[in-house]
Amino acid sequence: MTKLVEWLGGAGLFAGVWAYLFISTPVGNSSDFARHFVLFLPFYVLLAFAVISVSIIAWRVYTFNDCEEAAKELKQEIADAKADLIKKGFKLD
Amino acid sequence: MGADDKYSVLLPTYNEKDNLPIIVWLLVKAFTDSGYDFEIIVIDDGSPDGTLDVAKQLQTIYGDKKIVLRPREKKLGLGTAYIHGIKHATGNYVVIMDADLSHHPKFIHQFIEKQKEKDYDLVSGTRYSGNGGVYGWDLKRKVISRGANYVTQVLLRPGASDLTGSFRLYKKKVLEKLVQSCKSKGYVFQMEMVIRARQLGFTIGEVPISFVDRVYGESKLGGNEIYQFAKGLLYLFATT
Repeated sequence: MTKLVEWLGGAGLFAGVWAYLFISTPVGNSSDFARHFVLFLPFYVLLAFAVISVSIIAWRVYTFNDCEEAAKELKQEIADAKADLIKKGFKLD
Repeated sequence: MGADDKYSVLLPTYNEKDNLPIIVWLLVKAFTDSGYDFEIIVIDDGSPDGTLDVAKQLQTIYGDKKIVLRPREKKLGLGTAYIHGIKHATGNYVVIMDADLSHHPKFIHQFIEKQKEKDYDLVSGTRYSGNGGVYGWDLKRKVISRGANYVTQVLLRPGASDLTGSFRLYKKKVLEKLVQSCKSKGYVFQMEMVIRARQLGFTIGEVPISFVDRVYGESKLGGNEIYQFAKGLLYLFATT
Protein backbone atom coordinates (compact mmCIF):
# COMPACT_ATOMS: atom_id res chain seq x y z
CA MET A 1 0.00 0.00 0.00
CA THR A 2 1.46 3.34 -0.98
CA LYS A 3 1.35 6.32 1.37
CA LEU A 4 -1.14 7.96 -0.97
CA VAL A 5 -3.51 5.03 -0.65
CA GLU A 6 -3.02 5.03 3.13
CA TRP A 7 -3.96 8.69 3.32
CA LEU A 8 -6.95 8.26 1.03
CA GLY A 9 -8.06 5.40 3.24
CA GLY A 10 -7.63 7.54 6.33
CA ALA A 11 -9.51 10.40 4.71
CA GLY A 12 -12.31 8.03 3.77
CA LEU A 13 -12.50 6.75 7.33
CA PHE A 14 -12.61 10.29 8.69
CA ALA A 15 -15.32 11.22 6.17
CA GLY A 16 -17.37 8.24 7.28
CA VAL A 17 -17.08 9.11 10.97
CA TRP A 18 -17.82 12.74 10.24
CA ALA A 19 -20.95 11.91 8.18
CA TYR A 20 -22.17 9.62 10.97
CA LEU A 21 -21.63 12.30 13.60
CA PHE A 22 -23.35 14.85 11.44
CA ILE A 23 -26.37 12.69 10.85
CA SER A 24 -26.66 11.70 14.48
CA THR A 25 -26.50 15.18 16.10
CA PRO A 26 -30.11 16.16 16.75
CA VAL A 27 -31.56 19.21 14.99
CA GLY A 28 -32.98 21.91 17.22
CA ASN A 29 -32.06 25.10 19.08
CA SER A 30 -30.31 23.52 22.03
CA SER A 31 -27.91 21.58 19.85
CA ASP A 32 -26.96 24.32 17.38
CA PHE A 33 -23.48 24.48 18.85
CA ALA A 34 -23.01 20.73 18.56
CA ARG A 35 -24.20 20.76 14.96
CA HIS A 36 -21.98 23.71 14.16
CA PHE A 37 -19.01 22.02 15.74
CA VAL A 38 -19.52 18.77 13.85
CA LEU A 39 -20.04 20.64 10.58
CA PHE A 40 -16.76 22.45 10.96
CA LEU A 41 -14.89 19.50 12.44
CA PRO A 42 -12.58 18.97 9.44
CA PHE A 43 -11.68 22.65 9.53
CA TYR A 44 -10.89 22.50 13.25
CA VAL A 45 -8.80 19.37 12.75
CA LEU A 46 -6.81 21.01 9.95
CA LEU A 47 -6.39 24.17 12.00
CA ALA A 48 -5.11 22.20 14.99
CA PHE A 49 -2.74 20.29 12.73
CA ALA A 50 -1.45 23.53 11.22
CA VAL A 51 -0.87 25.11 14.62
CA ILE A 52 0.89 22.03 15.97
CA SER A 53 3.01 21.73 12.81
CA VAL A 54 4.13 25.35 12.87
CA SER A 55 5.00 24.99 16.55
CA ILE A 56 7.05 21.89 15.92
CA ILE A 57 8.91 23.47 13.02
CA ALA A 58 9.53 26.68 14.97
CA TRP A 59 10.90 24.66 17.90
CA ARG A 60 13.16 22.66 15.64
CA VAL A 61 14.50 25.79 13.95
CA TYR A 62 15.10 27.36 17.36
CA THR A 63 17.00 24.32 18.63
CA PHE A 64 18.89 23.66 15.40
CA ASN A 65 22.50 23.18 16.46
CA ASP A 66 24.95 25.73 15.09
CA CYS A 67 28.24 23.96 14.69
CA GLU A 68 30.59 26.83 15.47
CA GLU A 69 33.23 24.46 16.83
CA ALA A 70 33.16 22.31 13.74
CA ALA A 71 33.68 25.30 11.49
CA LYS A 72 36.63 26.52 13.55
CA GLU A 73 38.18 23.07 13.63
CA LEU A 74 37.80 22.76 9.88
CA LYS A 75 39.53 26.08 9.26
CA GLN A 76 42.50 24.91 11.30
CA GLU A 77 42.58 21.54 9.59
CA ILE A 78 42.59 23.14 6.16
CA ALA A 79 45.72 25.05 7.15
CA ASP A 80 47.32 21.89 8.57
CA ALA A 81 46.42 19.93 5.46
CA LYS A 82 47.93 22.49 3.12
CA ALA A 83 51.17 22.65 5.10
CA ASP A 84 51.49 18.88 5.23
CA LEU A 85 50.67 18.40 1.57
CA ILE A 86 53.29 20.92 0.51
CA LYS A 87 55.82 19.00 2.59
CA LYS A 88 54.82 15.85 0.75
CA GLY A 89 55.49 17.50 -2.58
CA PHE A 90 52.03 18.64 -3.51
CA LYS A 91 51.89 21.72 -5.73
CA LEU A 92 49.25 24.04 -4.31
CA ASP A 93 47.80 26.61 -6.69
CA MET B 1 35.29 -10.87 9.18
CA GLY B 2 36.38 -7.73 10.97
CA ALA B 3 39.96 -7.99 9.81
CA ASP B 4 38.89 -8.24 6.20
CA ASP B 5 36.62 -5.21 6.16
CA LYS B 6 37.55 -2.57 3.66
CA TYR B 7 35.83 0.76 3.16
CA SER B 8 35.59 2.32 -0.31
CA VAL B 9 34.89 6.04 -0.17
CA LEU B 10 33.13 7.30 -3.28
CA LEU B 11 33.93 10.94 -4.04
CA PRO B 12 32.05 12.31 -7.04
CA THR B 13 33.68 15.62 -7.93
CA TYR B 14 32.89 18.56 -10.13
CA ASN B 15 35.16 21.61 -9.93
CA GLU B 16 36.67 20.72 -6.56
CA LYS B 17 40.31 21.42 -7.29
CA ASP B 18 40.70 23.38 -4.04
CA ASN B 19 38.74 21.08 -1.77
CA LEU B 20 39.89 17.73 -3.12
CA PRO B 21 43.38 17.77 -1.58
CA ILE B 22 41.94 18.74 1.79
CA ILE B 23 39.20 16.12 1.82
CA VAL B 24 41.66 13.43 0.74
CA TRP B 25 44.14 14.50 3.44
CA LEU B 26 41.35 14.41 6.06
CA LEU B 27 40.18 11.00 4.85
CA VAL B 28 43.66 9.53 4.95
CA LYS B 29 44.17 10.94 8.45
CA ALA B 30 40.81 9.68 9.71
CA PHE B 31 41.33 6.17 8.39
CA THR B 32 44.95 5.96 9.49
CA ASP B 33 43.95 7.08 12.98
CA SER B 34 41.09 4.60 13.21
CA GLY B 35 43.01 1.75 11.60
CA TYR B 36 40.39 0.61 9.11
CA ASP B 37 41.40 -0.42 5.61
CA PHE B 38 40.22 1.96 2.91
CA GLU B 39 40.43 3.33 -0.60
CA ILE B 40 39.21 6.62 -2.06
CA ILE B 41 37.56 6.46 -5.46
CA VAL B 42 37.48 9.85 -7.16
CA ILE B 43 34.82 10.11 -9.85
CA ASP B 44 35.48 13.35 -11.64
CA ASP B 45 32.96 14.43 -14.25
CA GLY B 46 35.30 16.22 -16.62
CA SER B 47 35.82 19.23 -14.35
CA PRO B 48 37.07 22.19 -16.36
CA ASP B 49 39.02 23.53 -13.38
CA GLY B 50 41.60 20.73 -13.42
CA THR B 51 40.28 18.64 -10.53
CA LEU B 52 41.51 15.49 -12.24
CA ASP B 53 45.10 16.77 -12.37
CA VAL B 54 44.91 17.50 -8.66
CA ALA B 55 43.62 13.97 -8.13
CA LYS B 56 46.57 12.58 -10.09
CA GLN B 57 49.00 14.51 -7.89
CA LEU B 58 47.34 13.06 -4.80
CA GLN B 59 47.66 9.63 -6.35
CA THR B 60 51.43 10.12 -6.64
CA ILE B 61 51.62 11.08 -2.99
CA TYR B 62 49.34 8.42 -1.51
CA GLY B 63 49.62 5.63 -4.05
CA ASP B 64 47.15 4.23 -6.52
CA LYS B 65 45.88 1.61 -4.09
CA LYS B 66 44.55 4.36 -1.84
CA ILE B 67 43.57 6.92 -4.48
CA VAL B 68 41.66 5.31 -7.32
CA LEU B 69 40.70 7.47 -10.28
CA ARG B 70 37.58 6.69 -12.26
CA PRO B 71 36.84 9.88 -14.20
CA ARG B 72 34.02 10.44 -16.64
CA GLU B 73 33.75 12.67 -19.67
CA LYS B 74 31.08 15.03 -18.45
CA LYS B 75 28.64 15.81 -15.67
CA LEU B 76 26.41 12.77 -15.58
CA GLY B 77 24.64 12.82 -12.24
CA LEU B 78 25.03 11.23 -8.85
CA GLY B 79 23.23 7.92 -9.35
CA THR B 80 25.39 6.92 -12.27
CA ALA B 81 28.48 8.19 -10.45
CA TYR B 82 27.75 5.76 -7.63
CA ILE B 83 27.14 2.92 -10.07
CA HIS B 84 30.38 3.75 -11.85
CA GLY B 85 32.28 4.02 -8.58
CA ILE B 86 30.94 0.78 -7.11
CA LYS B 87 32.04 -1.18 -10.17
CA HIS B 88 35.64 -0.48 -9.22
CA ALA B 89 35.28 -0.61 -5.47
CA THR B 90 37.28 -3.37 -3.80
CA GLY B 91 35.82 -2.77 -0.36
CA ASN B 92 32.85 -4.61 1.13
CA TYR B 93 31.51 -1.32 2.49
CA VAL B 94 30.99 1.94 0.67
CA VAL B 95 30.97 5.46 2.11
CA ILE B 96 29.29 8.17 0.11
CA MET B 97 29.92 11.80 0.93
CA ASP B 98 30.34 15.28 -0.52
CA ALA B 99 33.78 16.46 -1.58
CA ASP B 100 33.22 20.10 -0.65
CA LEU B 101 34.23 19.75 3.02
CA SER B 102 30.66 19.95 4.32
CA HIS B 103 31.04 16.34 5.47
CA HIS B 104 33.92 15.61 7.84
CA PRO B 105 35.72 12.27 7.60
CA LYS B 106 36.09 12.19 11.38
CA PHE B 107 32.53 10.84 11.55
CA ILE B 108 33.31 7.80 9.42
CA HIS B 109 34.69 5.72 12.26
CA GLN B 110 31.48 6.51 14.17
CA PHE B 111 29.49 5.26 11.17
CA ILE B 112 31.59 2.10 11.14
CA GLU B 113 31.12 1.44 14.84
CA LYS B 114 27.40 2.13 14.57
CA GLN B 115 27.14 -0.29 11.66
CA LYS B 116 28.85 -3.00 13.67
CA GLU B 117 26.47 -2.51 16.61
CA LYS B 118 23.60 -4.23 14.87
CA ASP B 119 25.07 -5.11 11.48
CA TYR B 120 23.05 -2.30 9.91
CA ASP B 121 22.66 -2.39 6.15
CA LEU B 122 23.15 1.34 6.01
CA VAL B 123 24.15 4.10 8.40
CA SER B 124 23.02 7.64 7.70
CA GLY B 125 24.55 10.85 9.01
CA THR B 126 21.86 13.11 10.43
CA ARG B 127 21.91 16.87 10.92
CA TYR B 128 18.56 16.86 12.66
CA SER B 129 18.86 14.68 15.71
CA GLY B 130 21.16 14.14 18.64
CA ASN B 131 23.94 16.69 18.53
CA GLY B 132 23.90 16.86 14.77
CA GLY B 133 23.72 20.34 13.29
CA VAL B 134 24.73 22.81 10.62
CA TYR B 135 27.13 25.73 10.36
CA GLY B 136 26.59 28.59 7.93
CA TRP B 137 22.82 28.61 7.52
CA ASP B 138 20.71 31.70 8.11
CA LEU B 139 17.21 31.64 9.55
CA LYS B 140 15.50 31.35 6.18
CA ARG B 141 17.57 28.34 5.19
CA LYS B 142 16.92 26.65 8.54
CA VAL B 143 13.19 27.21 8.25
CA ILE B 144 13.11 25.77 4.74
CA SER B 145 15.19 22.81 5.83
CA ARG B 146 13.17 21.95 8.92
CA GLY B 147 9.91 22.69 7.13
CA ALA B 148 10.73 20.41 4.21
CA ASN B 149 11.95 17.69 6.55
CA TYR B 150 8.77 17.93 8.62
CA VAL B 151 6.53 17.62 5.56
CA THR B 152 8.60 14.65 4.42
CA GLN B 153 8.30 12.98 7.83
CA VAL B 154 4.53 13.45 7.92
CA LEU B 155 3.93 12.25 4.37
CA LEU B 156 6.46 9.44 4.13
CA ARG B 157 7.15 8.38 7.75
CA PRO B 158 10.55 7.12 6.61
CA GLY B 159 12.04 6.02 9.92
CA ALA B 160 15.12 8.20 9.42
CA SER B 161 15.49 11.76 10.65
CA ASP B 162 17.57 13.16 7.78
CA LEU B 163 16.35 12.02 4.40
CA THR B 164 18.18 14.43 2.13
CA GLY B 165 21.57 13.89 3.74
CA SER B 166 24.28 12.37 1.55
CA PHE B 167 26.85 11.28 4.12
CA ARG B 168 26.24 7.57 4.49
CA LEU B 169 27.84 4.17 4.91
CA TYR B 170 26.35 1.26 2.99
CA LYS B 171 27.14 -2.41 2.69
CA LYS B 172 28.33 -2.60 -0.88
CA LYS B 173 25.69 -5.13 -1.95
CA VAL B 174 22.97 -2.97 -0.43
CA LEU B 175 24.14 0.16 -2.25
CA GLU B 176 24.30 -1.77 -5.51
CA LYS B 177 20.75 -3.01 -5.07
CA LEU B 178 19.40 0.42 -4.12
CA VAL B 179 21.05 2.44 -6.87
CA GLN B 180 19.50 0.14 -9.49
CA SER B 181 16.02 0.82 -8.15
CA CYS B 182 16.21 4.61 -7.68
CA LYS B 183 15.21 6.85 -10.52
CA SER B 184 15.15 10.36 -9.01
CA LYS B 185 17.70 13.14 -9.15
CA GLY B 186 19.30 15.54 -6.69
CA TYR B 187 17.92 15.74 -3.15
CA VAL B 188 15.14 13.37 -4.03
CA PHE B 189 17.61 10.68 -5.06
CA GLN B 190 19.00 10.52 -1.54
CA MET B 191 15.45 10.43 -0.15
CA GLU B 192 14.44 7.67 -2.51
CA MET B 193 17.47 5.59 -1.46
CA VAL B 194 16.32 5.57 2.15
CA ILE B 195 12.67 4.94 1.29
CA ARG B 196 13.52 2.02 -0.99
CA ALA B 197 15.91 0.69 1.64
CA ARG B 198 13.01 0.55 4.11
CA GLN B 199 10.74 -1.01 1.52
CA LEU B 200 13.27 -3.74 0.87
CA GLY B 201 13.61 -4.41 4.56
CA PHE B 202 17.12 -3.04 5.01
CA THR B 203 18.07 -1.79 8.47
CA ILE B 204 19.12 1.81 8.98
CA GLY B 205 21.28 3.25 11.74
CA GLU B 206 21.90 6.95 12.40
CA VAL B 207 24.86 9.00 13.57
CA PRO B 208 24.58 12.76 14.31
CA ILE B 209 26.95 14.79 12.15
CA SER B 210 27.91 18.41 11.79
CA PHE B 211 27.45 19.87 8.32
CA VAL B 212 29.69 22.85 7.57
CA ASP B 213 28.20 24.75 4.68
CA ARG B 214 30.83 26.99 3.14
CA VAL B 215 29.09 27.45 -0.18
CA TYR B 216 25.69 28.61 1.02
CA GLY B 217 26.39 32.16 -0.03
CA GLU B 218 27.21 31.07 -3.58
CA SER B 219 24.76 28.31 -4.25
CA LYS B 220 21.27 29.47 -3.52
CA LEU B 221 18.36 27.28 -2.65
CA GLY B 222 16.16 28.67 -5.40
CA GLY B 223 12.54 28.26 -6.34
CA ASN B 224 13.45 25.64 -8.88
CA GLU B 225 15.15 23.42 -6.31
CA ILE B 226 12.15 23.70 -4.02
CA TYR B 227 9.83 22.86 -6.92
CA GLN B 228 11.91 19.79 -7.84
CA PHE B 229 11.90 18.72 -4.22
CA ALA B 230 8.11 19.05 -3.96
CA LYS B 231 7.66 17.14 -7.20
CA GLY B 232 9.95 14.38 -5.98
CA LEU B 233 8.22 14.20 -2.62
CA LEU B 234 4.82 13.79 -4.28
CA TYR B 235 6.27 11.12 -6.56
CA LEU B 236 7.53 9.15 -3.56
CA PHE B 237 4.25 9.74 -1.71
CA ALA B 238 2.26 8.31 -4.60
CA THR B 239 4.51 5.39 -5.45
CA THR B 240 5.91 4.01 -2.18
